[in-house]
Amino acid sequence: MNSRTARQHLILFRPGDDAEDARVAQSLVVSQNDPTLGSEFQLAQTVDGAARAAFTELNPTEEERSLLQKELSEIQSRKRQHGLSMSDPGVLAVALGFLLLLGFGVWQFLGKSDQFSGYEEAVALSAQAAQLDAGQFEPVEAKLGDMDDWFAMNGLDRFWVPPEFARFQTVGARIMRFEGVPVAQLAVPDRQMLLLVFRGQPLGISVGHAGTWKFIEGNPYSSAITEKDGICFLVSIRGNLDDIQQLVDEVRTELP
Amino acid sequence: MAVEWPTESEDLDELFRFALFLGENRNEAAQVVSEVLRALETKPEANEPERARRYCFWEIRKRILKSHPHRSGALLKPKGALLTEAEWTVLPSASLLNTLRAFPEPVRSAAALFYTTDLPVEDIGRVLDLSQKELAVEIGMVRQNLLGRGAAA
Repeated sequence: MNSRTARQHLILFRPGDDAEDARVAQSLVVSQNDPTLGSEFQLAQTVDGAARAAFTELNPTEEERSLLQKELSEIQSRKRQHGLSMSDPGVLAVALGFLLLLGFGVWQFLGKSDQFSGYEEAVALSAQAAQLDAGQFEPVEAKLGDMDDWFAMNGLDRFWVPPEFARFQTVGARIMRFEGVPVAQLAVPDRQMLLLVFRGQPLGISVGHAGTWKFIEGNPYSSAITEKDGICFLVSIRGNLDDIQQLVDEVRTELP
Repeated sequence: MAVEWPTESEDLDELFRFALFLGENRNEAAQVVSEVLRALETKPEANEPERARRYCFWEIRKRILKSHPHRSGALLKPKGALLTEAEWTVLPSASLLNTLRAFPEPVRSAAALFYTTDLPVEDIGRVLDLSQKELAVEIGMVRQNLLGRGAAA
């Protein structure tokens, strides 16, 4: 390792970081043998030490700490009262069990579907999404309307769920890739829905203006897809074209 | 919903310091941390410590930047040659914090997370939507600017 590479590895080094990491350990050795790099590293550590010390000035007072501790204790107390948690593998298995019951995997697409730009890609995506393994899902216990942060935290900016589906509760989610494009896949026990959220443009999928729904009939599952600002939302349930159309009509009617 | 992080007093201190650094108001810092903890309780991120921790910092920053918009942009390299350790004067803490606070976003938040937490650098990048390479450039620039201020002191 040369000094330049060592410098790059040491820029983000902090005391307490894993000095056993081979690259860091080697970089530290290089810095000891290169006086220029060594003094640079020493100076960086001095500056960092002063900065870290300055931040301790921002510690909470005992009173502030006590208030935050109280808040945390109440949250932990509610956790104990609720008992079962989705982080419990057994609970998760039950919650996601419906995915196994769905028997996704064999999916024939019929010809009685709406046509839209990227129809074939949407069908192929649905088929791949159907090859799911419940074990690949992570427990996500939230209303679909509260998934914004989960999308953003996973780098899925501007991903959304139509307001008419916001009230449904998801129990599991995962990010799959289809032709290199990230696709959020959400499992909803109610009506045994499987949802996909993704950018349409990289896949050539475009449904039309916001509020437009297109339908894809398959056997034993059918899907409905809509789009807003380039982000597509696809929902699949067991049933035929009438069933999926009825679901969309129902949720749209229920929207306040 | 089980909240797997924070669990310790030190975890709360981390969140409070970050909120106070960005918002510069003790009451608001305590309020924002409390609100974020309550929000976390209903979030899927709560189940897993690393994600819960990232969520808390991400949400605190989002809320404080909403109430206190801060300029964003690149931190420029200070003029002049780099100092040696002997030449650098350690700034008083208040002056050092004010210097850091004046940096543009996301450098300001990067410095705060780097210095006030032991959040892994990969996670700092994820909270701020920066690659590790970008984060390294920003932290390198923070050090150079702190050195520049030390020379002027």
